[in-house]
Parts: sequence; C-alpha cells; structure tokens
Amino acid sequence: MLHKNFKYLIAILLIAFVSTATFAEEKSPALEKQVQNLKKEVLELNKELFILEEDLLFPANTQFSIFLSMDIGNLFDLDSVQINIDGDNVSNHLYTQREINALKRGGVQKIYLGNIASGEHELVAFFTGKGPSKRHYKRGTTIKIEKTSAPLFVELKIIDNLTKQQPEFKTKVWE
Amino acid sequence: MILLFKQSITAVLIASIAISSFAEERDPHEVKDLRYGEALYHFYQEQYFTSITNLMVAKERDPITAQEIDPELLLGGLYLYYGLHQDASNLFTDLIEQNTSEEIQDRAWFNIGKMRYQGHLFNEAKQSLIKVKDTLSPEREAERQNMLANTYLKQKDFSAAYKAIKKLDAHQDWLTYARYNMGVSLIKSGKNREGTDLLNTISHLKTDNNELKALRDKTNIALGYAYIRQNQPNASIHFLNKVRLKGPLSAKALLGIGWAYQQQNNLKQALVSWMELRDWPVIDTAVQESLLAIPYTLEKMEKNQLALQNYRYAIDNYKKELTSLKHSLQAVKKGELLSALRPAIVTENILATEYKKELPESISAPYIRYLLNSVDFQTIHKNYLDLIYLKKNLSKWKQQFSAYYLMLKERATYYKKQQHSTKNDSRLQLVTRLKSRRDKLAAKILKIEHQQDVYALASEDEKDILSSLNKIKKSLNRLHSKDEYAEENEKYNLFRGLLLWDISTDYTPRYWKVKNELNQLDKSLSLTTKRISSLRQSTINAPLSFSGYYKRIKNKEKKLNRLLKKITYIIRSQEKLIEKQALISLQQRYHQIENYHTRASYSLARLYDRLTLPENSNKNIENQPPVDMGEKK
Repeated sequence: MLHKNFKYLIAILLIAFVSTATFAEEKSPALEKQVQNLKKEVLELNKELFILEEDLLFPANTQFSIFLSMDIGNLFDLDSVQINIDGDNVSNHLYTQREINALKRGGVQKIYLGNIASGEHELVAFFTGKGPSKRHYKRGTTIKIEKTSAPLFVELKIIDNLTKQQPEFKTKVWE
Repeated sequence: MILLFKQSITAVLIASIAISSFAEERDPHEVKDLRYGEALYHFYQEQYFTSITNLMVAKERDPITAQEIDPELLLGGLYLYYGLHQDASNLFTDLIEQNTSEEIQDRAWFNIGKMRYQGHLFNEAKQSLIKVKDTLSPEREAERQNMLANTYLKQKDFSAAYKAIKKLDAHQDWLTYARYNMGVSLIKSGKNREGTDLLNTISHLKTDNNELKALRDKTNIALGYAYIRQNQPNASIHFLNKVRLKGPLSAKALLGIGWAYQQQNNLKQALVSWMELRDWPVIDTAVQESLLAIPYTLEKMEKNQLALQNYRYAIDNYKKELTSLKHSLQAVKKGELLSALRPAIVTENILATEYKKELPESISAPYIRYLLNSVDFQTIHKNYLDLIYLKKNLSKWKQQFSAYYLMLKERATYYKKQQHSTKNDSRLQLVTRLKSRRDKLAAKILKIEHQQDVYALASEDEKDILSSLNKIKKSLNRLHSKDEYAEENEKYNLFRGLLLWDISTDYTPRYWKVKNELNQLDKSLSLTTKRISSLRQSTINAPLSFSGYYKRIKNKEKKLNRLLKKITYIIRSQEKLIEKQALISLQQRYHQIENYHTRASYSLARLYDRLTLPENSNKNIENQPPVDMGEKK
C-alpha cells in the first residue's frame, strides 16, 4: 500500500512540475498579427518621413555629408573629432567605447550632414586621441572640395600604417 | 531586488534572432558603400531601428549594389528582429530565386529554416535546412545540425537525429544541448536506457561556462527523476546529489532525493532532505511539495504528534502563500505589474536597457519573476517595448510637422519676393541684344573668310599705318612731277608691301583666333540662355514644387495621425494581454497551493480522527490514503 501511495505522490510531483513549467497558453494570434502589421506600417512611414525630411532640409544640389571610418584602428585610440568647413566649426564628436567598437568592426559614422553652396570649399578635420605609445595625439587633415549640383560625400579614414607603426588620416571623395 | 529577466533566458531569446548570426559571420566588414557602412555602424551599437531605416531608405532611393547581398541579409535579419516574418521570408526567398551563388543560397535557406524552426514549423524547417549545402561557417553549420536534430526528434526519428548530433563533435556547446534534448526525448518515448546513457555524458561535464553548468544541473534532475520512475533510487540519489546546492534547481534536487529515499523505504533520510527545504521560501513549488511530504512521511513513521505539527505548519505556510498570492493578484489588477514593466526612459536599444533593469520591490515582484522567464511572455513583452519605442518615434515625427509647414511657407514667401525682382531685372533683356550683336559679328567673320579680306584682320596699329600710307599715296598722286618723287613712291610701295606681307602671312592664325573667340562667345551666350531658361522654368516649377511638398507633408501627417491612434490602441491591448497572462499564471499558482492546502487540511482532520476515535486507531495511513493525490489534477 505504501507503494501505491508513493505512486500517487510521484504522479502529483511530476504533474506539479509540469504545470509550473507551462505558461498559460492564452495567446492572441489576431493581436500578434495586428502588432506585426502595425510595426511594418510604422517602419514604412518612418522611411517615407526620413526621405521627405532629407528632400526638404538637404536638397541634392546643396547636400554635403561627411563620414568617418576606421581600418583596424589599433594604433590610434580615438577620443574626438572636430570638423571645420571654410573655417567654421560645424561638428564636434566625442566617442564612446560602443561607437569605437562599431567603427572597428566596419561601421561607418555619418558625422556631418549639411548644406553648402556650389563651388570650392576647404574641409579641415582634427582627430584627438592616443597614439601608438599611448601619448596624447592630435592630427589634422585638410582637403579642398568642389561642390557641384550633385550631393557630395566625403569619407575621413583612420588607417593603421603597419609599416610605419603610425596611424594615418586620409580623405576620400565619393562619386 | 530582482533582475527583470534572468540572464540565461534572455540569452536564449536574444541569441535566437537571426541578426546575431549575421554579425558573427560577417565581422569585420569591408565597406564598399557608405550607406551600408552607416547601417552597420548603428547595427553594431544595437540601434536596430536606425539601422533598418538606413537600409530601407537606401533600398528605396538607390539600392546598394556594391556589397553583394550583405545589405539584404542584414535587412532580412532586422525584419526578423522586429517579428516581420513574412517580409523576411519574402526577402530570403527572393535571394534564392535570383539564381545567386551557392553560398548565398545556403545562407538564405539557413535563415528560412531557422525562422520556421522558431515558428515551431518543424517539418517545414527541416525541408529548408536540408537544402543547405556546405558553405556555412562552422558555427552556423553546428547550429543547423542542432536544429535538424531537434526537428528529427519532434518526429521521433532518433536515428536521423543521432546522425545530425554526430556532426557536432567539434562544438561542445551545441553537442551538449543536442545530447540533452535527445536524451530527454528518448526517455519520454520510453527508451530509458538509451536516454539515460546519453544524459550520463552531460552529467559529468566539467565546465566553467555558467550556461553549461545550468544544463548539467538540468540533466542531473532529469536523470534523477527518470531513475525514480524506473524504481532505481540509488542511481537517482547519485545524480540528484550532483546538482549544485546554490542554484535554481537545488530545491527540486532535494525534493527528489527525499522521494528516492522514500522509494528505498528509508523514511528517516527522506525526511532529512525535506526538512532541509522546510524553511525555504514557499514560492518554490518543490518547497510546497516538501511541506506536504514531511507530515505524510512522519505519519507513516507513526510519529503522529510531529505529523500533526507539520500538517499545521504546512497549512499555515500555504495560507500565508495564498494570502500573498491574493495580494499579488489584486496588485496586478490595480496595474502594479504594468508600472513595473513600463520603461522610464525610452531609448532606441530599449530591449537591452529593460532586460538589465531591476524590478521594483513590490507585492507581485517575486511571482512575476517566474512569469518573466517564460519565452512566450518575453515575446509579448518585446512586442510591447517595440511598440512603445515606435510610438515615441512617431510622436517625435509629429512634432516636426509644424516646422515643415513653416519652412515651406518661408520658402514660398522668399520665392515670391525673388520672383518679383527677377521679373523686373533688365539684365534678362540684355541677352537678346547681345545675341543680335553676335550674329552681326559672325556674318562679318564669314565675309572675311569668303573674301579672304586680310586687311579686315589688321590690328589697330596696322590700320593706323595703313591709313597713313593711304594718305601718303594720295599726296604722291597729287604731285605733278612723279619722277622727282620716284624714291618716295618706291619707299611707299616697299612699306605697303611689307605691311601687306605681315598681315597676309599672319592671316590664318588671326582668323582662327577670331573664330575661336566667336566660339567662346557662343558658349557663354548658350550658358546664359540656359540659365535664363532654367530661371524661367523654376518660376513655373517652384509653385508646383511647393504644392507637391505640401501635399506630401499633408499626406504623411494624415498617415502618422492614423498610426498614432492605432499604436496607442494596440499598446493598450498589449498591456491588457500582459496583465491577463500574469493573472492566469498567478491564478494557476493559487489553485495549486489551494489544492495542497485542501490536501493538508484533509490529512490533518483524518489524523485527528484516527487519534481521537478509538474505532479508527488501528487504521493506519496505508489503508486510507491521506490525500486525494492525483485525482484533482
């Protein structure tokens, strides 16, 4: 008889564990579907608004974007970047570790988006951080750019020169 | 304080999204398109909303072609992250149908398979996963084999599952999980020997990985209870003793050890294990069970007074727990849970922030922890957080509209002003006069060319000299005695000849110089004409552009207002669902403890009867089971 009761208890025990593990299956497929459709609609509208705003605020004939990328980035611990266009300071960015990691993994940051008139301009970028010997390091790079009626994209690149064991700061104008 | 989600469970949810596999496989990236690089920059910072926006905008404006299919794979992964399974599926299917390379096809099939697997469509998942050939990275291939093994297990095809698991030898994590799943599945199918043999390999696992330590505990629990069911208490105790003392499964292990001793009829040792649990928090189901097992066993040992005391102790604790659950139910109904779950700060990586936050001290918090650790609930909660962020994003756009209208109005005003001043600008009429002068000049040059009129191209100095020579010639012609002036005549002829020589020999370069200048003039005039034409065109187009923008803005504003209303409504529905799930979960617990309470009360009454009524004193527990165990459930 003890054995019989024991069996009862084991049964209860197992059922109890199963019942605590199971989550109330009160799902709502209709709501789930509504949520997914809504998310899709919001993402679409967000895209449309993004395009509208860009068309309004940064028309192609004056649009000017500056990007920053890092190749390897072991020889330079970037702290901040300052950007001047024709002598005017237009952007200052102080980097978080999260942003540095994203750059090192191949991400490209759009550091500036603005408008400039057609013609020749001077872009100066200052990079501040720590160099190969962990010493304070500040470098600048200058580029003359020609703005036409098409949008202009400039990439600032921080590259490790492994031969010289020094960081290099280059610029590239994208077509 | 309780973390909102246990790390392990969160890891399961987060790891399940396809984008994590994307990041592992494609890191580091060579960026050939700045827009893709920008999407990656946000993706790596878990700013998935910005990342998906970047990719969608690029796709709309001018699709990224320089990065092969990486942007598409990333977009597909992000669709999955937002639960847009249909869009993700369409995208991956497109990649397959585009006659792409084997590598791309493999990755697309892998993602489709994983998506179907996560949607519990195991047969469909299997059909997709078996289409993958051999181009996946070793880590993804291991994941594929693990998923395949699980789909075979769902169909009880153990030999196919075993073959898939055999391919995981080089990946200890996947191998351990796969063995666990197969072991449990075999036991559930009655293949105890094969199942326990497989689980045995995990039971001894030496590892520093916390996830694997937790899996090892789970394995030992599964083995322990499997041996109890097979009536092998020694083996059961052996495995249950391996469960870590300080872990989420320690109470379950102690309870099982008690049952195993009970099975051996070693009631004293059974009590030792259960008494260990006596003062543990009653919220744990293993503790609830042990509270009833203790007096029951004491009663069997004829320690009736102690049994009475422990029945009473159990009843008191069940009562307290029931009261506590009642309060929790009320608190949830009053919105306490939603207050705890509602994010204080809504940021783009709201999911990561919220999963790390701690639940505030509250009545329902201890119970909610159990609810929050369920994957189903996490899905509902993730949707809820996604919607809250999306609503914030919509609200942010809404605030922009007044600025857009103002900007448009300012531009239109400025344009009107400019248009007025341009209309009256006399310089616009100048070009017609210039054109007429140019035509006269061109005709003159043509005449020079036809007549080979070298003098027409003489310089001002040369013209002066020529004029002087002409005067001299006239004077010479007026003189009567020409012979006396023969020398002067000769000089005149010489000078004129020299001048003609100079002009004639220089005619061709002079002519081309003039022709070239005419071409330059034509170009300048053409540019000026174009600019004037463009100015006239913009005079016509600008009002259309303003009205076009106005219509676009108005249209988006209308759409946004509609979506804002909808999202507010659906967030409320999602909140109701969260509350409903919490209430159902709490009610289930309530009924379970109520059941224990009833059984304890019944056993107490029965024991009193047996002790107080002489005719019942010889009836022991074996003849009359103390509780209606098993019947109620």
